[in-house]
Amino acid sequence: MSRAYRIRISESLRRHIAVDDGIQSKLEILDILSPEQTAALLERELQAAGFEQREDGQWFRVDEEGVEVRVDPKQSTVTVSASADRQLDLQRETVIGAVAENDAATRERGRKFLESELEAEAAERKKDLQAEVTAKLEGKLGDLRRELDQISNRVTAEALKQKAASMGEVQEISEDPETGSLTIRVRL
Amino acid sequence: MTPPTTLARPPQTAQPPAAPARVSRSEAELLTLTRAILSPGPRYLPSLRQQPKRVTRVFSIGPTAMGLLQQTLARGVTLELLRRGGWQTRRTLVNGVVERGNLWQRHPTLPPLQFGRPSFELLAWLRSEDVGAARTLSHDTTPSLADDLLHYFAAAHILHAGGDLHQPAFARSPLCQLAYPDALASEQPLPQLDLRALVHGEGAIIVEALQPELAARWVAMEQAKPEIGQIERMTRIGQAQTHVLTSWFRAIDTESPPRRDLAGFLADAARELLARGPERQCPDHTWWISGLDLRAPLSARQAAFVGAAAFLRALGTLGVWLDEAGLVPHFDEDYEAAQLLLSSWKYLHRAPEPPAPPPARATNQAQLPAAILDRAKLLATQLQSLHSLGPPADVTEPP
Repeated sequence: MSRAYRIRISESLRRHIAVDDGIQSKLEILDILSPEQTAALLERELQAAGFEQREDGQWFRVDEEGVEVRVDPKQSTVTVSASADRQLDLQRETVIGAVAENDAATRERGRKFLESELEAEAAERKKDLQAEVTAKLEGKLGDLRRELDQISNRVTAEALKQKAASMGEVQEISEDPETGSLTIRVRL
Repeated sequence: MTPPTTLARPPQTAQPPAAPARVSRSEAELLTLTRAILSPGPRYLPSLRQQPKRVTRVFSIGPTAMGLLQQTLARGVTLELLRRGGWQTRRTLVNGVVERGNLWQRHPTLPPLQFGRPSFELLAWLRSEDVGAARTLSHDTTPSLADDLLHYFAAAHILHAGGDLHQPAFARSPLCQLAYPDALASEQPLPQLDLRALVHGEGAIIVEALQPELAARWVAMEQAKPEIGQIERMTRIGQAQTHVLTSWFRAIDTESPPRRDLAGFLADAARELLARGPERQCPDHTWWISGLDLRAPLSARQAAFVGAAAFLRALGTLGVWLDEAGLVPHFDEDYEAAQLLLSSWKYLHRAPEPPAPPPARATNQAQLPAAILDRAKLLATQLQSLHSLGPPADVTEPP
């Protein structure tokens, strides 16, 4: 008569997971002045908004949550990105029935089952981390949109003023902050 | 019996045989299938999905069946080209000169179409396979233009039968790429094809004849986008559309003068999609992405939005061409071609339309510019801007 054995198997998985997310978009700035002049105006506004210039000419800012905003003034592109990483240390244990004490095949099956469960959990944790990063970016996007729109508007307004000054004698400038309208009277 | 290498058109004076021709069962099935593919409109062909399919593939046919196959292809393909658009009165460039009329008036002598082994392999494959789960169809020999055209005709029937076009033979077909980038889109990018064969000689004549059908295909492709739920699928379709249109624009400009009129199907599709009037309503940018499941990283979301805007973005090239055409002086040798473009596509720049009631599906119609090209540019910009991203609830937020 055969005797039933219970084999306890434990597996662990240690892994470093890293996720990132990001988007790139164009700043909506009208072509009023030359690209170089527009870039100079944009750089001035970016500096006032707390951006810092890198050696490659791009301007960047990182907030307290690690969301990085990069602006290329020459191309008028803005890149928003965030990343996160986490160290996983997962452990699983199971007990399986076997017909012999040294039933290697059953032990191997149990081990593979545990491995697949650990892999699935690691994938799930990575997905959760990805969702966290995306949610963090989404949360920042609303304010960032408004800020970038304001920067674009200020650059456009300043470009219009400079263009008007180059055309003749500026007699009157009136701005309505509520509607965003700008009226420049020029004497040619 | 040897497999056919070339199926030439039979002479016009050929008389039908006095007695009915006798062919084997497999040959009869092949001929019936050929006739069905060359019949008007995509209709459901049960023989493409018959279960169990996978009957033994034929590798050769007898001389009687070959004669009938030649006759069917010669008459059927010509008739289909005329039926699908060749009958329309159009103005096109013929040897650098603008000609007006239907296809046979613009091209009184049509060059012969040479069907080769790939056509026979296609027909044999269709007869023996269930197109929903077919074995690979790939050709050892380079398909001729006529072979390409037969693949194009077959593609509509395969899709109508619920099959898919993810076969090397269709992915490498220039006409199928031009008409079905959505059905060919997959994880792998479309193979880079040289489309120059379609912008001169008989290739250009075929594309002229297929203009209305190609326009309808691109309208259908765009109208299907709101039904797409998977972000990856939208991204792939957009990438495939961009890929084929980039190749197409490049091929068009290799001709002298450039055959830019052959992109007319895109202008027609744009009018159908974006012209606002009593019957045609222009959707706003959210319409293209309304079916997407946006629970995905922002980078994937943006890639899908860029894919959704692929057609709208490509219309920018038509606008550049129109601007260039307006600058061609009257003494330039390309003047006639430029004027053809300006007169044929004038509706893209200016759209005098009667005031229309606000359509139900649009939220910011008042902000849309009047001209179709300006609308396309604005919609593409809106789709690709930061304002389209953010939480799913924000997508409908006007910029």
